[in-house]
Amino acid sequence: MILVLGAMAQEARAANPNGELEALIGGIAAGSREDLAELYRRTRAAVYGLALSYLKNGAEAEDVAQDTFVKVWAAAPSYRPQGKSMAWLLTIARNLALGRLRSAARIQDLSQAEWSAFSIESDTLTADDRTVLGAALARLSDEERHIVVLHAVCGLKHREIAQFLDLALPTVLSKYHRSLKKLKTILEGDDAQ
Amino acid sequence: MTDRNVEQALRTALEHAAPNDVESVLLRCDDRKGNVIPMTNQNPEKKNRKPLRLAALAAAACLVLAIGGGSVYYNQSQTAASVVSLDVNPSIELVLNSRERVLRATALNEDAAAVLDGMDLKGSTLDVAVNALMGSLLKNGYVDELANSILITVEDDDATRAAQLESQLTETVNAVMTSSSINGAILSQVVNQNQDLQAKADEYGISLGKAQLIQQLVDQNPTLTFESLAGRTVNDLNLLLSSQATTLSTVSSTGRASDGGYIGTEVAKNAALAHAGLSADQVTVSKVDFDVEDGRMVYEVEFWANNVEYEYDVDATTGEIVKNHTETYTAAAGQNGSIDQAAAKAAALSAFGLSEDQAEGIVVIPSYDDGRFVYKVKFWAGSTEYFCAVDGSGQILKSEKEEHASSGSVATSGTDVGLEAAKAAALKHAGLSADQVTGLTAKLDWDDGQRVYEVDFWQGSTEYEYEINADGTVRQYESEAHAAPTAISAGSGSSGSSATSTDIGETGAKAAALSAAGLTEDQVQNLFIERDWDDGRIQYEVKFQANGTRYEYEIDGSTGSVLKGENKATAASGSFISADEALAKALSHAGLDQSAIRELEMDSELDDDVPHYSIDFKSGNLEYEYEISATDGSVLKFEQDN
Repeated sequence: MILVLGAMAQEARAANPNGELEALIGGIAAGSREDLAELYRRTRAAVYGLALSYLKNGAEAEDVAQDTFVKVWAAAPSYRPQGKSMAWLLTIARNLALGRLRSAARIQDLSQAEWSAFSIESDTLTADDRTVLGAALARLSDEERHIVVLHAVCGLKHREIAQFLDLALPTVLSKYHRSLKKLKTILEGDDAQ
Repeated sequence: MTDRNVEQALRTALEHAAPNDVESVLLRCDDRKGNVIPMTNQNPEKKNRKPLRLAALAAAACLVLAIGGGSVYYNQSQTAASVVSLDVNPSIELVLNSRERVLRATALNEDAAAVLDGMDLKGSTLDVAVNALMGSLLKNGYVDELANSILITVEDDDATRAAQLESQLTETVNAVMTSSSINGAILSQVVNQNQDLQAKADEYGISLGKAQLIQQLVDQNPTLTFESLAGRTVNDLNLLLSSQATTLSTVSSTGRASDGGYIGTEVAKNAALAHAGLSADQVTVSKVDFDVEDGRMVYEVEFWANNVEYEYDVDATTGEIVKNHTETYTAAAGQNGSIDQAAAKAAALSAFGLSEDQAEGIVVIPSYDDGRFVYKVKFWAGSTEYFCAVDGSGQILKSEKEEHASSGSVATSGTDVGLEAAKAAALKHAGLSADQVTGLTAKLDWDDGQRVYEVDFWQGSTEYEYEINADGTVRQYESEAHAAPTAISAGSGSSGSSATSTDIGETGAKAAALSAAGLTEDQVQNLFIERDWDDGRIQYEVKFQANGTRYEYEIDGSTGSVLKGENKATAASGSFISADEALAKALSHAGLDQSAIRELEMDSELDDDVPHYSIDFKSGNLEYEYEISATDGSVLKFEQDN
């Protein structure tokens, strides 16, 4: 189990270096579908995770994740390399998520069930996965959840998160630690059962 | 468990939950020049989302409970995007992300659907989208020299960004109009989310911005209704706004709304003058304004000649006279005489040269006006409404006539139930009998070209207002429960009773007022009593005259205590000069001819300690304000302003 987790951590970290992402976006701008596929493979969990953190709805987050990469394809030629490729990608995802929230709210009041964390559908999702996602969605405030996802899954540094969310660095740090503590309590309680 | 483990668990869960379907993404990406990678294993269907399984939902419900039941609600206040709307008559709404890219463009009415037809604005910049929309508005003829107004509305939680968007949009729209050689008139505003207004906007198929503009117009001018304005174009609204010199603090306005689609003020004025049989040099025109009457744009024309004030509504498109109204001012004279109601009615009818059988719905209401006792007499003949104020000596103080344009078939007298039946119909509808109610009154009125009876009454602290059609059916009704009377202070003997209120009645109120004045009923004249409801308690207003003194009392309806008392010597019984004479005095003082002034406003304040007329008017770019003594015509006050 620990070995598997270690391997995943490696994959997540490999996605971090902005330099590699920058090169991929450059390739996408030039019309390389292979580079888009590679970017998708490396960042899909981060993009989906951020979208889910805003939308709290699996199906909606899935749509936003797919739309984000379509948008990346269209927008890549106008991207200017500044070493912030991950933040650029996440900004696209966030804007799509916010737009969807806004139009959803204007069209109808979605029922609680539809907003439920458990509209997430995936054949590979385990009971443990559901527990941790449920905890993150139900127990963390929106802001706390954004911060945790941006650091743990998207690989942004706390300083970058502060910039991305327009918050003070100490706020990000304290919220991050408080959130992890909350999640830990829930997950340990779960283990004990 | 370490922090690392928690982070890892979350990462794993998201890796598992995230879609893994790059093919469907690649399929949606158009080829760019060169570098085409041939795809194998293509699946043209976008990954189908399976319907939510009930089992999963049930499990979800259990889990949420187990976790602690924190319900997951979407919090709208955290969204940061903005909504921009353009209203002409088509209403179009653009939802933007924080980088000013269009997320969604919505046609809010049918006209807008035609404008948006075939356009895909999603993903374009705001600038590109607005240019495209303006192009389509021009091409489809919604914006031209004759209707040149456009309303821009920005809705954004971030005030700085909202203001920036507002000015940026105004610039873009203006530039497009200028390049099409149109002198545009642009209204722009920033609005906040408002659920009540949004509901109204949705109901009428207009944007929140247009709804806000209409609401503000209605608030400033109570004669307008939301309903009658919702279907008007922004150009009409802009014309109303500028012609009534209404300024809305939250709306910026550039350019002038074009009235090229209407007959113009000169034509409207001439139509009204022709109807009155007067020529331009015989009258002083005080006003020619746009207004909305019965859902159509009209010019409201007001002028003044020989003691008579004329008010006309002229259809702005056809020049047809929609409504006209005249008001005659007569020199006020007699005092203290006390003719009865029948004599007042006869005086009013003869003033218009009508006999009693020609008039219907005659109502005589004793009341006080300008501090003197008057009978207000109202009646109808055909579709014309007459009003007269007759003083105690039988002199006509004021007479008014209003002709209503009848729409379609006017109810003939055969189908007209009359005042008494109208009262009965209203009572029946309310489930009350005449002896259960107080203050029952009924009068004939005219609404949308139809005769209606207005019936008002009270039952306890509930006020009823009915409109009864000429055929006796209920047109509309309203009942208003006023706050229950506040606890009655001890002192009167009724303590301990659980009754919420006692009502001393008109007789009790009259007795209380007379005793406060130290007079008996046979010593006073022109006694007038009115029941009212104020601050949750019944109140009576009692007025009468005796020995050249006017008394006014407010009596608490529960206790009979005097809340307010006032007595004043009535104005000197010598006759006053007429309004026309007063105007002539002011004009001669100003050295102006009647034809040189506009926006004339006159008011008579004959019950003042110094009885006078207030006269305001404009000439050139100067504003004049006069107070002319009603006794000797001297100038009491004079002001001249730029």
